[in-house]
Amino acid sequence: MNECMNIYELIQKELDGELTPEEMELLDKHCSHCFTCQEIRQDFYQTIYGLRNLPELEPGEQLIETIMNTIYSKSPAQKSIPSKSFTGIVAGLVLFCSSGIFLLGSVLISLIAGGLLYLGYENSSLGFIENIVYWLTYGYNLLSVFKNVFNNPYSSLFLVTVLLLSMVSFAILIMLLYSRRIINYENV
Amino acid sequence: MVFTDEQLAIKSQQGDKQAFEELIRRYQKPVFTICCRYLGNSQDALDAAQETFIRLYNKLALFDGNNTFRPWLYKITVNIAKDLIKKRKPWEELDFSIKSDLGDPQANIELTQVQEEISKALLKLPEKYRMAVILRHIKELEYQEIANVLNLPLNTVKTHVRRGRDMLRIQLKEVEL
Repeated sequence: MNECMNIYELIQKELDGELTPEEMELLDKHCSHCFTCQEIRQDFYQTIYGLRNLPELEPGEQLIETIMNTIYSKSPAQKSIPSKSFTGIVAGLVLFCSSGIFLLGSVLISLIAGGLLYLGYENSSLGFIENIVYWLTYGYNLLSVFKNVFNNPYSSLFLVTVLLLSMVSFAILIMLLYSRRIINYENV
Repeated sequence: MVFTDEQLAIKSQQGDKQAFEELIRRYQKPVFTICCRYLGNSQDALDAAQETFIRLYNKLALFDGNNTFRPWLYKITVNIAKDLIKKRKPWEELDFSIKSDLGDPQANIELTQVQEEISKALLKLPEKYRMAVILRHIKELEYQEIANVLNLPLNTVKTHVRRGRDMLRIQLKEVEL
């Protein structure tokens, strides 16, 4: 049995064309009296023969046409693929602008809302400059209220959670877009 | 005048459209065959083959004329086919292991019973053994070339091929060809 194990190794080596003449002689000699090894050897021959003779498959004429059109027709699909650094810069810019707009929007909304409150509660018989000053003062007061939200642990926790969730969703979106590109265009 | 693959690759690098088309013409069948035998589905194989040549075009500048073109192209093919398998859903995988549509009449393939059994058995091999066996016994690459294509140590490749063909032998024995 142990001998058969060695012969099995020799059969594998034979299939790779790595047998020495002495090993070949040993293999032939063993197989001439061991039916099991002879059968394994035959089965291997058949398997390899079958693999080698599998037909080469035909993809169809349209493959060349599709590839040539994709590459040379300057179609946006291939020609406008952004580079990795470009994607990164765009993602960074979008993130930066979003944060800026969020901050600016909060301030503006507070000021406008403050102004509206002022108009709602005060008599507008004052002069133009005073009106502006009061408008801004009310706006500033509302901004302080907004700022005070952060002093309340529950409100700030809520705000921070919302902010974090938005950032995580945004990051996931960017990663999805990015990974798709990595899969398609990784280095060879 | 007949150019070698390497000469065609260099000419393609310089923007020769005909040279690149000739490269595709020469390698569309081998690339499609590798993808088909590995993925077990002609539509996926067609997508992979198309992607292979597009990536080849994008990477042509990296090709060094001193290297052999064929293993370099196969390396791209293998990477793309592996990516495609990774993206597959588990139920798709199950489907492929049950039926092989390599005999798709659209592709004008007529398989004998033996060839069909071998194709099916090949698809049942673990992926790492399957690709090693395809490269070794269907595309007849040397072990060292396969090691370069798969980016694996030489001995690992030998083990994968040997285990793969042993599993194939046992499977084919079971179906009593």
